[in-house]
This record gives sequence, structure tokens and C-alpha cells, in this order.
Amino acid sequence: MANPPSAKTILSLYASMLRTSRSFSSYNFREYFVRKTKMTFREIQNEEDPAKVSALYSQSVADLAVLKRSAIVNQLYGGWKLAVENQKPRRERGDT
Amino acid sequence: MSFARIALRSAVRTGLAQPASRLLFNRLPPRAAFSAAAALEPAQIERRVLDVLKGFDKVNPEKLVPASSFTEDLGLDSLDAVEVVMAVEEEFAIEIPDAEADEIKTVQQAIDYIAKTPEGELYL
Repeated sequence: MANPPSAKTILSLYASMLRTSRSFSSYNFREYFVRKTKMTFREIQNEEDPAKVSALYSQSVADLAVLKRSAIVNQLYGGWKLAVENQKPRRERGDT
Repeated sequence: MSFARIALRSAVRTGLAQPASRLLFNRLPPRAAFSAAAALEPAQIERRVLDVLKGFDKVNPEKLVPASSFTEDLGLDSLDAVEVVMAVEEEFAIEIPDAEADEIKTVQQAIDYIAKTPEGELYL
């Protein structure tokens, strides 16, 4: 069995999964994947067994690849914004 | 009849509307504004970062000051700290690289990072 992943690699995977989940253009998918990512990583955090941590980690790495592909497809065919969403992001800064 | 009306209308239009717009054009001095808008005020950055943190359930608003550390003062764990950085990224529409996100451990460090970072692209 491979060594369990370090805390730093798990955190960086967490960051990239959250970032990818956030890039979905459909509100429902976006919220779901952000929620699911948070739940998965809480589970990893609470897991004591290193073998299970490794298994969950490699599962998440595989999921991230799927998530990235789906996010791109969803950005192409996302549809319009829902009424609950912020319709037009305001531009707050103009210094670049 | 209708031809006369059209002629009258075009006469009125050329007679009145044209000089008014020309007058306005002449009054405004020709100039070009190539300067960028001012950066965000430090106070505004601080307020917005603190607002982001207030959105977290685990954060006690009474302990929330710019000097407070995520893990020690606010009682957040490492996963929460990543979430905070993500929320700050979303608020200011920027992307913080992992190496620099690791360095952000206090509210003040987040504020400083925003202050020295140029604005991100506006995503639609």
C-alpha cells in the first residue's frame, strides 16, 4: 500500500476540487459539487485508518479529473442563470 | 399633404436638433481619459474580508478582528482555512495560487494579499 497522502497534498486537492466545482455554470450543479466536495473532505478528515484515507484520496483525485471535464462541458451548455443567482456581477475595481 | 408633413418634420429636426447637439459638442473640451480607476480602499478591503468571514458558521463574530488567526483565534481547522481563502477569492474575483494561499493564516494576511494583488478578470 502506498504511503498515505500528506496533509498538504490533501489540502491542495481540496482547493482545486473546490475551485473546479465553483466553475460550473449551472447553479444546481455548482452548489451540489461544492457541497459534495466539502462532505467528502470532512470524511477524509475524520478517517483514522491510513489505508482508507489513501483510498478516499485516490478516489477524489479520479473524481477531480471527471469534475474538470464536466465543468468544461457545463460551461459550454450551462443555460441561463436562475432567478436566485446574482445576475450581473458588479465590477468593483478597475486598477488593471 | 403627407409630403408636406414629412418636409416640415425634417425641417424641424435639422433646424433644432442639430445645433443643440453641436452646441453640446463644442462646449465639452476634447479629452481622453486613459487613467485607470483607483484601487480599492484598504478600509473597504478589510470590511469585505471581514464580511466574508462573518458568513462562516464556525467563526465567532466577537473574536473577529483583522489580527485574528484562522486556526488559533477563530477556531477553524485547515479545511476551513482553505474554504476561507476560496471565499475570499470568490469575493474579489481573483485566483490565489496554492503556495501563497498556504501563507495566508490570519485575516490581516488575507487583507494584505488583496491589497497587493491586481484585480482579476470579471467572469460572467
